[in-house]
This record gives sequence, C-alpha cells and structure tokens, in this order.
Amino acid sequence: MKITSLDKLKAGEKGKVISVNLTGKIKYRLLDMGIVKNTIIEMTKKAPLGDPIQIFIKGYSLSIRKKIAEKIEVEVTS
Amino acid sequence: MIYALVGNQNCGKTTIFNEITNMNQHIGNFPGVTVDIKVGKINDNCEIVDLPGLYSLNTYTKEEKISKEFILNHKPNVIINVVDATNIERNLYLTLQLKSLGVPIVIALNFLDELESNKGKIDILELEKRIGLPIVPLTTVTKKEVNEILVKANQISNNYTSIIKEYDDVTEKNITKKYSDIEKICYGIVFIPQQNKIKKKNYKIDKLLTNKILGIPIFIAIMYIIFYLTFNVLGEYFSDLINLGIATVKDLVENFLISHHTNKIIQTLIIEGIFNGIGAVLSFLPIIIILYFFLSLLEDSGYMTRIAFILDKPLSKIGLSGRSAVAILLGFGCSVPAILSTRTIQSERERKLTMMLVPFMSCSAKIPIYAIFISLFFEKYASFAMLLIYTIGAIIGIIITAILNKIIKKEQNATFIMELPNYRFPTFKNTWLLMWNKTKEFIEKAFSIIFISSMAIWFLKSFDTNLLLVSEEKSMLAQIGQKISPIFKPLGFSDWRIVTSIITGISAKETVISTLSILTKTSIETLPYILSRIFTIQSSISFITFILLYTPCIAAISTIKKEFNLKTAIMISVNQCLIAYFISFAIYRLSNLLFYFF
Repeated sequence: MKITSLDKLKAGEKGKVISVNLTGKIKYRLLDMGIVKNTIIEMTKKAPLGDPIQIFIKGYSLSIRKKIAEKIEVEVTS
Repeated sequence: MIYALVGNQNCGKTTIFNEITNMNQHIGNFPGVTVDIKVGKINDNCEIVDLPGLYSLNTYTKEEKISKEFILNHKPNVIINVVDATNIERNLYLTLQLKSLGVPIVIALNFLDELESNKGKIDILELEKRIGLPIVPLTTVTKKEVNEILVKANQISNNYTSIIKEYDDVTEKNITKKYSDIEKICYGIVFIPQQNKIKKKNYKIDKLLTNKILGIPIFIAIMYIIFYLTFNVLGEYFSDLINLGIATVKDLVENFLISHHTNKIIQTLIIEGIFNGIGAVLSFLPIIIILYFFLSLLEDSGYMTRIAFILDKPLSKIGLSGRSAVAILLGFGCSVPAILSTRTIQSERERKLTMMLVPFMSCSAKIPIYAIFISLFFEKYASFAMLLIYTIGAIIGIIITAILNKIIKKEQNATFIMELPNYRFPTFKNTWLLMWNKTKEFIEKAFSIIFISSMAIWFLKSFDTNLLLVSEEKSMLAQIGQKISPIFKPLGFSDWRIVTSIITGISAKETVISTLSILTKTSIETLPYILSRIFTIQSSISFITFILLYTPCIAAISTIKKEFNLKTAIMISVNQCLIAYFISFAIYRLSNLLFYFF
C-alpha cells in the first residue's frame, strides 16, 4: 500500500482518494466534481507544457492544475 | 408558466432547447436578472429558458450563480433536468440537490444511444423508482422525444408547492454522503463498462490533439486554416456575390429615381446615404458568419476545452487561466459574447484581466476595414497580412496584461478546474441555428445602428450649420473633422473624412467603412481606389494599427459596465485609445524610417 499525492501518479496509474487537503471554495468544488473519499482516480496525462494534468474520474475527464493535485492524497491501487 | 432547462455543462442541453424551440428563441430579459438568458416559446402560456450549465448549487463561477439565482428567485414551474447518461453519477449529484428544493422535476436522460453503442445499460424504470422522479429517455433528441419531455412536464406542473431555499450541502460529510447515495441508487441498474469505446476514442483523439510535441503546433495550424478559409476562400467568394447583388439593386433603384425625377436631395440620401452606407457593411456578412461557424465547431466538438487545457500554463504566467482562452478566441468574433464568456472564470482577478485582454483581440466587425486596406497595398499576402494584424493585437494585449498582472494585487483562490468533455460531432441543427441567429443579429444591427449613423453622417456631410445644402468640404461634418484632425497628424492621417470615420467607429466598427463610403461618395468596389489617393503605405499601416487597438464599440463598453462597473469600462476605453495612439505613432515613424532606407 503506497500513499502519495495525485500529481505523482504516472500516466495510466490509478489511485483511491484518501483526503483533499485544501480549504474553501476550491475544496468544495473538487468534492462537487466527485473527488470524494474512496473514489478511484486515473491519471491520464499532463498538458503539453507539463501543467495542468488530466485525470479520469467517475466516467469523465477532468483537468486540474498540479498545484491542486499536490494537495490530493491518494492510495496507489495499480 | 416557465420551464427551466437545468444541467451540467456539456450535457446536451442546448440541443434539446433548439429541438423544442426551433427558431422561436430570443434573449429574454427578466427583472432582477441583469444578464441575458435564452428563452423560447412552447405555446401561448408556456415558455422555456435555457440556463447556463452548472455542476452544483454550491456555485463556483458567476455563470453558475446566475442559474442558481434564476431557479431560486424566478421559481420556474418545472425544472427539466438534463442528465448525461454516459456520466451519470456526477450528473445525478446536481439532480439530488435540485430535488431537495421541492420544485417539480422531470429528468431528460440524454446520450442513451452513446451509452448503448458502448455496451452500457441503464434500467430506467427501476432508476425512476429509486430516484423518485419521472425520467424521459433520449437518444438522438428527436421531435417525438422532446414532446415526451413536455408532456411529462405538463403533468407534474401542478405539484408545485413552495421552494425551499435552504439546502445543507456545504460540508465534506454531506457531499460525500450524496455521492454514496448515488452509488446506492445506481447499484445493479447502471452498467458502464470500465474499458469502454468512448473512453478509448477520446483517448486516441487527445493523444494527437493534446500531444506533448504536436499539441501546440496543431492548435496553431487549425487556427491558420480557419483564417485562411474564412478570409481567402469562402468569405471572399460569398462577399463578391453579395456585392454583385447590392450593386444590381442599387442601379435599379437609381434608375427608377432618376426616371421619376425624384428630388435630388432624396436621391443622394438613398444612394449615397443608405445604399453606400449599409451596402458597405452587408457585403461583409458572409465573412463574419463563416468565422462564427468555425468558432461554433471548435466549441461544440469539445476542442475548445482542449485549447484551454493546452494554454493554461502559458496563460497562468500572465495571471489568466486556460478558460481565458475561450474568451480570447471568441473575441475574434465579437467582444460582447467574449466578455460574457468570462463568467465561467471563477477568480474575479483572472476574470477582470481576461476582460481587459479581450479588446486587443481584433473583432470581426473590423474585418471590412482591414480587407479594404489589404486589397490596396498587400493583395498578394492577404491571409498572411490578416494573421499579422491579429497577432500584433494579441501580442500587445499580452504585454499589457503581463504588466497589469504585476500591478494588481494577487488573489488566493485563482485556479483551474475544468471538465474535458467527450468529443462529439457538432449537430447540424445547433450550428445552423447559431449561424441563423448571428445573421439575424447582424442584419438587425445593419438596419438599426448602422442605418441611423449612415443617415446622420449623410445629413452632417450634406448641410452646413445654416442647414443649406453645400459641398462636403464646407459641411458641418467637415468643420468638426477639421478641428479634430490635427490630433492625428503625427500618425500620418489627418484627412477629415478618415478622422470622422474613426469617431463614428465608436458606435460600431462597421460604420468606419460605411462612413468612408458616404464621405467619398463611392460604393465599396471603388472605395479602395479613392483611399489609395488619400493614404500612403506607411499611413495605411498606421491607420490599421489605430483601428486594431482603439476603444471598443459602445456595445462592448456597456457589456463591461454591466459585468463590472462604469469605472472599469471607461478606464478600458481610455487606455485602449492611448495605447492605440502611441503604438500607431511609433509604427508610423518606424515604417517611414524603413521606407527611407530601402
């Protein structure tokens, strides 16, 4: 069982959300978009210039900046 | 009665709205709602509104706030909640929030055809039971399917009691619980294969379009192709066609007036004032519509969000976000929708900076002006010259934004969270309706603001202050123009007719050309010839630069005022004028120097 932050996942790797260590509006938006505890997130890719990243979650693709991904703690599942 | 279409972004809401309303749609004004919302008529006592997409009632962007406030304050009789079946869990999150408001809801379950082609399945009857709301399944959104929605909506419209304005969502615990409720609702009746065709298809397209090496070059190439097709190929062909039509009608009318010995003043009013004025503007309608056609393809196909994805990092360097890219690109069409599109930007600071950058993106109303000057001096390099003009505007805008970014106080909450929707083929109907609405808007503008200003210009240039009919050199307009024209001497163009056209351009950029046409007493075909005697290459470059950069039109200024405040609006227009003046001056001097040496 390996725990890391979301931005550290490699393309194609999956992780289970443990916690979203943010506050305020950004945190609630991430929760609203389905990044809640125990959700599986798949890292798809980075943008051509390295930031933001593209993730796959609950059947859709979402793009967020690395700075936010650093604050999302996940347990690597595959 | 009012029905409200509510749903996440990219859930296919607009397609449903278009199928219900067809051409019966307009921008509605609701008391208390300061923004434009699309309204369509269903029948004599029932209207439907298309609210901006939202993910949650915990609103995040201005656009979402607009939708939420509409639901709470205008109390639609029925909410038609559009749910994307391929992405059902996140879509149902909003559904559960809406349900707690107590408003009658009918769910329109969209994209079931995509789901099925993907070997996915939903037990709709059981879902209806578990969620406690009526569901209408949609596949290709036919007339029959949307009628079913309206029938269901009508059935439940009497269930309305009162709206509950409190809902208890803003804790992590509550949100997590809602999502686990959704999992329970979907358990055993919603089946979406893990490795599915849609995902693979999107992955493949993204592999190319947001490719690490090719992504940015492809973006540039696509923009170039759009410019090339718009300005060199399609636009030119259709514009020539319209010109021919206008010239034919004009000749017929002129002959008619002469053969019936109509009053000379009325003759010149109709021919010089109306035909030359409006004709000059109308002939550019095709170019503008074609540009909108391509912009709508970018948006509806899903590529626009990929542009935002690619450009977020460089844009964040100057205090903007990837979402600003959408506003920037729309700015090439018209500043007004571009400024409105900034509502999807969450941070107020990013939003303001984006709004300030938009006027540097040359709007389509300026195309006729460039086109004429390019045909004068740079005919061979038309699309390259166009691209150069647009690029110069963008670069200057970026420099100014970078400077503002250093000056304006930083903000904590600025970030970028955006869905990358599935790639979809734009539907014929959506594209067609958009082009139809834009054409309608443009023609209305031509026959209102441009018509009035054409008449006013004709009047001012035909009479002197004693209301005597005089030659234009002695007219009121000439007198005013000659007072102002010395200001523009350092920029290389001080002819009073040119200066007048710059001033009328503030009302709408299209009037620059109509004013020039009227003042030089010529139609659009011979205008370049007349202008070639007024301008040198250097002064025409300076003039184009000034037009590119100076104040946005009245419509854009008032939109900025509505979205922010009067102070910002005035500041933006004054700044643009100053920037335009100094840069045109510099370019004029520089090009004189170059021509001196070479």
